[in-house]
Amino acid sequence: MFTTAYDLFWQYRDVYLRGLANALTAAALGLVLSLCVGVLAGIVRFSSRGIAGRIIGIYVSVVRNTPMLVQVYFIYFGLPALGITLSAFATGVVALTFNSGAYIAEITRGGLAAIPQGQTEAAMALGLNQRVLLARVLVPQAAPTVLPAITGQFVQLIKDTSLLYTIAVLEITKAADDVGNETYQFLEAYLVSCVIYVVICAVLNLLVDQYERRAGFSRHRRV
Amino acid sequence: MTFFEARNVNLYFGSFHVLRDVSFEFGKGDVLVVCGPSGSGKSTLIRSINRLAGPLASGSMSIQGCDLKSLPRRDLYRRIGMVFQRFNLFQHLTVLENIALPQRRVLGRSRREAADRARALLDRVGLVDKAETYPVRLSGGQQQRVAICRTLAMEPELLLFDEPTSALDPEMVGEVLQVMRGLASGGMTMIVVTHEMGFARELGTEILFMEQGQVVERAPPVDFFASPREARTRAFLDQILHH
Repeated sequence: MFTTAYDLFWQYRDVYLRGLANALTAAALGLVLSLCVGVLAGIVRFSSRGIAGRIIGIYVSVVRNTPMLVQVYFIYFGLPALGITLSAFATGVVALTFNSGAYIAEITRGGLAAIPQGQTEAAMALGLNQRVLLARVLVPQAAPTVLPAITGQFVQLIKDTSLLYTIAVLEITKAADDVGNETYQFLEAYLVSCVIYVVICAVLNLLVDQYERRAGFSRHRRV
Repeated sequence: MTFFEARNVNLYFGSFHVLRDVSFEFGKGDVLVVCGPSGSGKSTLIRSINRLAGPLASGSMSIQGCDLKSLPRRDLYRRIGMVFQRFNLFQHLTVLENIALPQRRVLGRSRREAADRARALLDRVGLVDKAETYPVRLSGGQQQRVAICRTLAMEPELLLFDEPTSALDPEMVGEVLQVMRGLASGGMTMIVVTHEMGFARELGTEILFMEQGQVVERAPPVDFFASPREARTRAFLDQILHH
């Protein structure tokens, strides 16, 4: 089975690599965009008790309490209904951003909430305004602690690209399915995609671990 | 002349009546020492002065005749500084940056000016060689001295000290009290919540004894220690002085 799988991969390497490239691009774009959305949303959720904070609260719980596949379909059929027509790939990136943004918002909010209250009190007592408090006191202290979780989110994004298969984006899973359809060797075709996922995600996770160890070390040095 | 005045201040945390009809006043250059058993509302009292304890249910406080409630945030925090029990230095900034950041962001001083002033203050408390160090590398006493510098750099008219030596190891209490002694003799107006009765006796202009959110007794230190009027004050002093 393994040799067959390897042969399949080699024979259809173009398809697989194109799928891999698409998946990585979608995940990377999704990460960058959801970082923008998520960090901002997390900061607003953390600092606003008002309407903006509540709207973001709803957004986060909608994302967390529905399957991602449903979100993908909803965006895929919903955007055209709103008069927005995007390519399948772009729709996929929107879906990834929508989903991941909510998780990053929660990671950000958690990171900010973990900073001791005394830091905020000191900043207030010194007369720093809300903006300076966030930008110069809280966010810089939260950033190193949330970075591993956000990199973990990137791994999640790569795995989630597989759902874009359902809206006909050629990513890793779609590539495997295409190869299976052509050769009727589904198990082997999917085994190839499985190995690709494992290799990429394991490497990324290793990098995160490395970072955490290094960051822990440097924090100790500073301490 | 009255510099600061609190009139019938009442404050609740939920249904808990934390401050009950608290009134006092003092003049410029005075050192008001607030003491009392834990949970008596003394920290809450000074935190309510700079809006860290939520809005008052009733009563009013004023500094030089200006009602604190109607004082804009900016003015309030420029005029009233605070030193915390746990120092609360910004952990990601060096000592110098800690003292410079608020000067630059609130007072609009230049980087150069803020740094110069920070160094001058650090020199006064004997920590100028620690300017580039991060707070975690400092002892508690050193951190508290830096925190005092950070507040002083803003040139407040009134300084609030919330148990500034309670989180310190005993051997570091002296160095912080030394700095506070210098401030008091330099004419700084201060409210100090503390259990350091030696400090209270030596530098307090007046002592406010609180229990269960109420002011039980208010007297100059000589009278307070020698002949407390209230039984509760005597019980407290017995406990704290002869344990």
